[in-house]
Amino acid sequence: MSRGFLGRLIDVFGANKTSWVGLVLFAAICVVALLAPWIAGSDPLEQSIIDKLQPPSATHWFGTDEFGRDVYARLVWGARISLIVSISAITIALVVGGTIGLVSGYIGGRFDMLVMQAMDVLLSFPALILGLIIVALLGPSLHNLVIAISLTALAPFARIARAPTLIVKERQFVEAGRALGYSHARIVFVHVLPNILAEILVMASLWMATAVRVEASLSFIGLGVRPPTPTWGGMIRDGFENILDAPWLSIYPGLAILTLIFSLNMLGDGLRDATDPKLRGE
Amino acid sequence: MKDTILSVRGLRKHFTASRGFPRATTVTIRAVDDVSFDVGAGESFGIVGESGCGKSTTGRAILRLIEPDGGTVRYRGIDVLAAPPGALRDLRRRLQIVFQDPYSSLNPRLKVGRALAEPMRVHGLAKSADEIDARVRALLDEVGLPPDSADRFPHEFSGGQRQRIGIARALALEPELIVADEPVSALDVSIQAQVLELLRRLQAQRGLSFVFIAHDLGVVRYFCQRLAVMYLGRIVEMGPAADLFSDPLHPYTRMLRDASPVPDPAMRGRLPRIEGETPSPAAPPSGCHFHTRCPNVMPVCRERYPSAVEIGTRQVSCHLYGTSAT
Amino acid sequence: MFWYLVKRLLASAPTLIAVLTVVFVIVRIIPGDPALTVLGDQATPAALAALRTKLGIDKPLHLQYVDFMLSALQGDLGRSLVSGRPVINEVTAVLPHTLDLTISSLLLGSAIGIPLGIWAALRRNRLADYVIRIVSLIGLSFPVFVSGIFLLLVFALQYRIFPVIGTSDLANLGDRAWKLVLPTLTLGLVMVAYITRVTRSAMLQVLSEDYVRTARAKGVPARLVITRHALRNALIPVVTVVGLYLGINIGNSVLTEIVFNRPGLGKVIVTALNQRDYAMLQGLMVIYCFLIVVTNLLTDLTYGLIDPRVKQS
Repeated sequence: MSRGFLGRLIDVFGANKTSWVGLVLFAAICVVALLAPWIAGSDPLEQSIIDKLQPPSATHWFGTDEFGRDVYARLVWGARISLIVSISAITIALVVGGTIGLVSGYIGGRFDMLVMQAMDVLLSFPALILGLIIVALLGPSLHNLVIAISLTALAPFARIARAPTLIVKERQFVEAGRALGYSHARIVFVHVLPNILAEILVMASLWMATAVRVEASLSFIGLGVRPPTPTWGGMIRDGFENILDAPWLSIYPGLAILTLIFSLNMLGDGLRDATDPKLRGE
Repeated sequence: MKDTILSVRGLRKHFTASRGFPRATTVTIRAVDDVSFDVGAGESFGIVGESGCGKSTTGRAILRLIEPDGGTVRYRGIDVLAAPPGALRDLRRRLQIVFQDPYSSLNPRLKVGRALAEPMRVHGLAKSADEIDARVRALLDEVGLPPDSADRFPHEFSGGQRQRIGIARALALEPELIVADEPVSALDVSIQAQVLELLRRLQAQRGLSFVFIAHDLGVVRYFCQRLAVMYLGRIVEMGPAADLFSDPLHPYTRMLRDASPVPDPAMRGRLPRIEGETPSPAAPPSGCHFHTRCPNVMPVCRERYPSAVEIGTRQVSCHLYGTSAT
Repeated sequence: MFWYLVKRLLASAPTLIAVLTVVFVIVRIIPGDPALTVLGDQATPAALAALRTKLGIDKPLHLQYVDFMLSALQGDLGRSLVSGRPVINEVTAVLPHTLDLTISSLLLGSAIGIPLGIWAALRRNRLADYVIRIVSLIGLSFPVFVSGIFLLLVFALQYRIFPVIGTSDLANLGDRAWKLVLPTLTLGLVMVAYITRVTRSAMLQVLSEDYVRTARAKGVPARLVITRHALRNALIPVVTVVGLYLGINIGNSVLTEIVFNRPGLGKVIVTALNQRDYAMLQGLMVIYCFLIVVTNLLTDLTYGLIDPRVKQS
């Protein structure tokens, strides 16, 4: 079978390379967020009525909003909120949900059935609706946003951790651990956990993408971190009101959200292909 | 028999499963049914039978890796089945197990050195890191592996080498009795002999007792002094290995013996086959479970399970022997 | 098949009851006194007490719970605190809009996603496959409000092909369909992306199975191998994802409704949250969960149609 130049190029950037591209893109966004005070150029909160709704120019790369604030500066600072919320929410969901799934799967039996029923109940609410209700219930703040999003991701992580646990616990080294007099805690965390960690971490990067999306969506609905703190979803919400006169107010934050989610999806997708033996072997 | 260290009496393990909707039916599988035997100090006791006969379940129930439903297990006078957690931990140090599958029995994420050091650490058998290190090396040497194995992962080893690692891990706790659950049946024939030789050497050097589980009489003949033959959850014949071989009393024992390969070219091609399929353990035949395949079947065999009869050093459960025959 | 259905229905009953309980609990934890919310700060204590009695929220919690469960199971979802109309009426008034959007985007997603996924699988690791995978990954990465705004900017504001506002007259079918185009595209793009990816990986899996290889080896024409042997089996995971996404879509429709200013369930829930209309919220959540349970059931029934093994068990 003959292959053109492009075909060979594709081979080089084969399945697992996508995860590298995603990683680099994601790392770049993290660097931007970390260096925000130095690279934002101007204060994201500084208002200037004279400069309001300026289209993109040399002084204001991405234009200004209705209060004359620099969109570029707000975007750079907004990256922090997206990352802080999604990373903390997913870390919590991973640790708590992962432990629930791991322990529930290891114990098995009726206990496992009950826990998984409870997780199914959580899963029957669409993530966005659940997030919406929880934030409305607790009041919009960074803190509550993290709690809400981690709750929406809790059940999926429990499921993701449980499935491989059920397989690993049947392997004889787990029985060997019992025969050697190890405690259940040691068997679960020293012997089972390392064998299912890859699966959980792959899903973590994919769920990070969801977390970013939910955070942006909640901010867009008006249930995100309170203004004037710049958030990408909030910027689009504000920009949407001026969409006829100043489309850049919606376009740039939209592209920023898209890029962050895309990088995470690439990372997770590549990792999943690399770790899934069914897709790897051929 | 010399001093008994392990004594199993009336051991039972039943599994239940329910199937079907809307009317579920419960199926009880008598995996181990009224099994009793003794193992002496320094003795190798073999349990033989086809797959599904309950031999592995018996081995695990002795160590309480599976909780049995009835019977008693005593180790040097300690009631294993009633042991509280602390005592059980101590028992787990003294009673160890070697598994059948050398691939699944080692944690793939753990370097061999750590896998061997972990049991010592958990049981506080060594004081310092240096001491643990030295003992790991000694163990590797004892089972015939190079010292640099400690820094490698299980997947870097062959099946036979992995089984040596599994044995070394069991030895790490300085046990007194080892349950060997088909320790060579997953290995190539050429490797089997090496691993068996290793086990024999360890037994001699360390004075270990073994409960050796196998489906193949050839392997146990080489290794065990006494044997029990199991069929569908029950022991059908028990006695000195040599006698069981030279003169099997139970028709099933004879069948197993005749089916195992004999290193005599003159006998080749004259091996009788094992007749029939093993019935499902969920629905064992009435009376003597073996009557569906037995060449000597009598009417009584379909009605009553034969009680065990002592014949010399042996014990057999068959209507051909003793008073129950008539 | 019949017993299978009964079994499935019975299995979803505990989930449904648990979900209702969670809804009840959540709504009780929301801070604020509903009576105060309705009548305002100036209301007299007597008026407040009277309203509480009328709403039944002065009863002990366990009685409220029993009342709630009984009426919910009878399909009575109470009345809105703000408008005073039955929740079920408020919902049925907007439900057609939400269903229009969800179903049309699902159809769009399947119509484009399934063929695209098959094509990508057949061209595995070639240019077409690579492009489809990247594009679908981008499609997945769009939050619906972002893609909605982009579509709005291009097709409604720049080129003025489609209307900006999606509120439509339900009786006028032409108008209804016309205003549905952009919202459907918005939600449909995510569906296309998802269905493409799932179809592709399911096809790849099935194509490597022995029975497909056998069919090929014995000389079954390629087209038949794909349609008769591979596709049918590959569709099972696709149906799962479509079912799952139907639920997510209902959630995502909130955003689409805001962007295109369409009426719908999502709009109603946001309004209810803002007004602290707890009776409304409670009813809405029950409906959401009911929709999801129904979706799961439909998914399972579809399995039965595709996979003969399900019928037998």
